[in-house]
Amino acid sequence: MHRDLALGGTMLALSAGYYWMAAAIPTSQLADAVGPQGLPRVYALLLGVVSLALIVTALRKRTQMPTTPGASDARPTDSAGSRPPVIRPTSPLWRVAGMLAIGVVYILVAPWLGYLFSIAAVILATVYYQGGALGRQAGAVALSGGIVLWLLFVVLMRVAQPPGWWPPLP
Amino acid sequence: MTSWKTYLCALALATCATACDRSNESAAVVRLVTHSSPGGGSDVFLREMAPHLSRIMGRTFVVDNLQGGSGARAIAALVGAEPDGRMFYATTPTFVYTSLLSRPAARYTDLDPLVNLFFDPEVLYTASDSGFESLSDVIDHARSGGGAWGAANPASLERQVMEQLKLKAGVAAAVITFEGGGAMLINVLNHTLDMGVGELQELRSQLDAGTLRLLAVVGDDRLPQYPDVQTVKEQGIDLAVRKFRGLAGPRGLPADVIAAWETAIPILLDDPEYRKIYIANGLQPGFMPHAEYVEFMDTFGRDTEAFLRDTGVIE
Amino acid sequence: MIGAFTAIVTTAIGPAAFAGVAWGILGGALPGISPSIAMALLLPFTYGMDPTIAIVLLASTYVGAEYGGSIPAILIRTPGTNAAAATVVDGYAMKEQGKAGEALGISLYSGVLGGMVGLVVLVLLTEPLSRVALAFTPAAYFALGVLGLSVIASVSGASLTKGLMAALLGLMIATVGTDPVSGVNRFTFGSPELLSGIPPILVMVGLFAVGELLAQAGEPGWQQAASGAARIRFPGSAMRKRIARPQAIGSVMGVFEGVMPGAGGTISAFLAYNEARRWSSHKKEFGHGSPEGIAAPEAANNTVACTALVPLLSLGIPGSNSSAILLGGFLIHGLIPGPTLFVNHPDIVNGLYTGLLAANLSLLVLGFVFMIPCLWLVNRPKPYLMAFVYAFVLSGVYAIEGSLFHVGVAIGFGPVGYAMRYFTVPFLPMVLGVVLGFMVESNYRRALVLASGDHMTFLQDSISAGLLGLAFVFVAGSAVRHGVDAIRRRRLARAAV
Repeated sequence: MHRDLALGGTMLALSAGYYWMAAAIPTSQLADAVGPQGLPRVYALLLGVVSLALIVTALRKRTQMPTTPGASDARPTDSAGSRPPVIRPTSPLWRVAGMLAIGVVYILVAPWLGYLFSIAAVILATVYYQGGALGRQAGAVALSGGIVLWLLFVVLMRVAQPPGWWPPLP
Repeated sequence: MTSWKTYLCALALATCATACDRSNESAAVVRLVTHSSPGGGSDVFLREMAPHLSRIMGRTFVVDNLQGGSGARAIAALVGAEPDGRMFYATTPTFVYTSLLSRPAARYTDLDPLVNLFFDPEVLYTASDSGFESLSDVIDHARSGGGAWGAANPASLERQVMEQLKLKAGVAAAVITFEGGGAMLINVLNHTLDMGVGELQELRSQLDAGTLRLLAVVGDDRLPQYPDVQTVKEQGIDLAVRKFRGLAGPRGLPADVIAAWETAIPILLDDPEYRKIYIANGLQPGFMPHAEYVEFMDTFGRDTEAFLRDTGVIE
Repeated sequence: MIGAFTAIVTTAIGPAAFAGVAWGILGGALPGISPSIAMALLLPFTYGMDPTIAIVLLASTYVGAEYGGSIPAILIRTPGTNAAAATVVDGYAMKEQGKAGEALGISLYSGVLGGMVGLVVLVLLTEPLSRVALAFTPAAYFALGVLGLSVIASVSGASLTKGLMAALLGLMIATVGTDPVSGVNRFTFGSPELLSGIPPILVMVGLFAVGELLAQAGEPGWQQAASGAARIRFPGSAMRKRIARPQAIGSVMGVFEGVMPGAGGTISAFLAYNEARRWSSHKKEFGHGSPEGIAAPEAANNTVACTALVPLLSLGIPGSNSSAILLGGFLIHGLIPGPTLFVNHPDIVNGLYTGLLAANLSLLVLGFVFMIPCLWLVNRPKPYLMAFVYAFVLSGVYAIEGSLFHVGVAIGFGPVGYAMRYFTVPFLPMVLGVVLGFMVESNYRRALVLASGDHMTFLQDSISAGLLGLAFVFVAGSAVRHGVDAIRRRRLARAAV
C-alpha cells in the first residue's frame, strides 16, 4: 500500500504541476471557445481526482488490514504483464541508472565517435550490465554486432546514422 | 536450413551491391535539403527538378530529407554549412512560419535567399453540389450568420488567407483547421465546410471528376489551366498571397554561385520537358533573381510576423 | 483471378511484391521503424521504376510491416508498430510459456487471412465504402476516438484507477506540440523538435523496450531465455477453428477502420482484442497467453493494410502516414489517386490489386523465413539479447527523423516504464491515450467550433451518436465487471479471515 500512496502522491503533484503549466499557455485570437488550455486543464483535474481516489483507497485498505503489511502488495499481475522489480538492499537502482547512462552516453558520444563504434560500445556495456562476462567473446560479439547493425541500417536500409568525425567512405 | 542460408547470402550480396553503388557518389555533389518527408510537396518538387537541373548545370544533385522540427532541423543544418554553393534548402512559407512560431536558434533570417522558381497557386474551392456558385455566395451565406471555412493547418499561409478573407469581407465565419489537406477535403465534400483553401495539385483528381468547383484564385493572376476562374481581387476583395518555392543557402553565398543559378533557372523553366511536369503539378513559374528574392522574403516575413502578432499567436 | 496469377508469375509484379514484403517485415520488426518509415526509406528508389511496380513495392511494404510489428511484440514485448501494441499482451505471455513459435504462427496466419479479407473488400467494395469515408464529420471522428479510448477499462488489468491514471498521462503527452486550432505551442519548452508532438512510437519503445531493459538491469542473475525450445508451429486445425471467430471480428474492425481516413490501424486492433474477449468462450485466458488475443488484433491490422487504400484510391485522400507516403509514390509518377484514377489508369489499379494478392502470398512464405533468425536471436543468452535490443532501439528510433533528440525522448520514457512497472500501472491505457489523444482533442474542438459551442452536435450527428452509444455500453459493461470482481475479491478476503 505504500506504493499506491507514493504513486497517488506523485501523480497528484504531477497533475498540479501540469495544471499550472497548462494555465500558462498563451491565448490567441485564433483560438476557439475551448482554447488550447481547455482539455489540458480537464486532464489535469481528472488526474488529480483519480490520484486522490487511489490515495483514499490505499489509506482505507491500510486501516482495514493493519496486521498483514507484506501480503497486501501481492496483487495479481495485470494485463500488461507488469512485474514489479525486486528492490534489493544493495540498491539495484544503481544498476538501473547505469543502464540508463549507457543510452545517455550514446547520445553524447555518437555524433563524434560515429555510429559503428558507438553502437558496438553500447552492446558491450549492456552485456556487462545485464550480468554477462566481459571477455573476448563479448568483445567479438559487440564488434561484429556493430558491423552487422551498420550494414543493416546504414548500407542496406540507408538510414542516416550519426556519422562521427570520420572521413567519408571513398 | 539451407533456405535461410541462401537468403542470408542473397542479403549479403545485396548489401555489397548497395555499398558499392553508394561509394560511386562523388564528393562534388550539390545537396538540396528539404524538411518535407519523401513524397511530400518539397521533396517531389526537388526530385523532379534534379535531373533536369543536372542537365543544365552539369552537376549532380542529391535530395536530402532533413525532417523534424517543422523545418527547424533543416535550417539549422544550412546555417552551419559553408556558403560554397554545395548545399541549398527548398524554401516554402513553412520555414518562415516555423522560425516565427517557435523561435529556434537558427531562423529563416539566418539564410540567404538564392532564387525563386515557382508559385503554388492557392485556390478557394467548394463541393460541386454545395449550392455555392461563386465566392460571393459563400460570403453571403457567412454574412447571414453561418459559414464554416477550412484551412489545412492551424498556423499556416492557408489559415492566414482565410482569416484575412474573413476580415476583409467583414463576416464571422468559423475557420476550421486540420492536419493536412486530406481531412479538410472530406469535410468540403460532405458539406461540413462551405469552402476550403488549398493548392491546385491536391485537388486535381476531384476537379477532373467534377466533384469540386473552384471559386477563386488567391493570387494576382488567373490560372492558365482554369482561365475562367476569377481571382479574389477580381471579385472585389483585396487579397492575394504568393506561396513560393525557391532555394536558399547559407549566408555569404559567393557572387559567381548566385550568377550561375540566375542563369540556369530561366533556362530550366523554359525547358519543354520540365515544363510539362511542373504544369501538370499545377506550379506557376515565378523566377525571381537573388536581389528581388531577398526583398520578397523580407516582406513576406514581416507580413507574416505582423499577422501572427495581431492575432496573438505569438507575443 | 487467373489473370492475376498469370500476372504475378509473368511480370515484375510478383518479385516487387516479394521484395516489398521482405523489406516491410524487416522494418516493422525493428522497433522505431514504423510502416510509414519503412516505405519512406524505399520511396526515393522508386523514382526511376515503372509506376505499377513502384506502387506495388510500396503497398507490399505496408503489408509486410503490419505483420513485422508483431514479431518484437511477441518476442521482446515491444510493439514494432502502433497497431501491434494490442498483440503484446497475449503474444508475450505465450512467449513466456515457451510458445513463441506458435504465437508467431498464429500472428502470421491471422495476418495473411486478414490481408486477404482486406483485399477482397478493396477490390469489390471500394466504391460504396468510399461513401462511408465521406460521411465522417469531426464529431464522428471524435466519437471514434472515444470508442477507442473506451477499451481502456478492459486493458487496465486489476486496477481501473491505475488504468485511468495511465490513460490520462497518455492524453497529456498527446497535448505536446502545436495546438490543433489556434496554432500556439503547448508544452514545447521552446524546442522546435517538439512542435509536431511526441510520436507515439517513441513512447511505446521507451515504456516497453527501454523500461524492460532497466527492469532486467535491476534483477541481476541471468539465465537462458525461457523459450529455448521454441519451434515454429503453424496453427493446427483445432486452433484454426478456435481463432476463426476472433479473426472474423478483427477483419470486420479492420475493414471499417481502414476505410476511415485518419484512424490508422490501432483502434481496430484494440477494439478487435476487446471484442474477441467479449465473445470468447475462453475469457479467462485473455491476458495470460490466449491465441485469440493474438489472432484478433493481427487480423485487424493486416486488414487495414489493404482497406486503408480505399479512401486513397477512390478519393485521393491519404488516411494514415503510410498511405500519405503511398500517395507520394503515385504523385512522383504523375499519377493522381482519386475518382479519375479508375478511369484513366485502370492498368495501375489492377496491377496494384494483383500486387497485393502477391504480397499476401509472399507474406506467408517470408513470414516463415523471418521467424527463423528472429527465434534464433531471441534464444541467445539474456545479456546478449538485451544488448541487441538496446542497440536496435537506439538505431531504430534514430531512423524516424535522424534525430538524436528522439533517441533521448525514447530513453527518457524508459524510467517512466520502469516506474510504472514498480507501481503496477498498466502500459496499454497510456498507449491508447498517446495514440488517440490528438484525434480526440482536435475533432472535439473542431466539432464545437462548427456547432458554435453546442455539445448536442455529438448526438445530432448519427454516426457520432451511434459510436458514442457503443462506447457507453463498453464502459458500462467493464465498470460492472470491475465492480463484480471487486465485490467477489472482498468476499473471498473476508472468507479467508
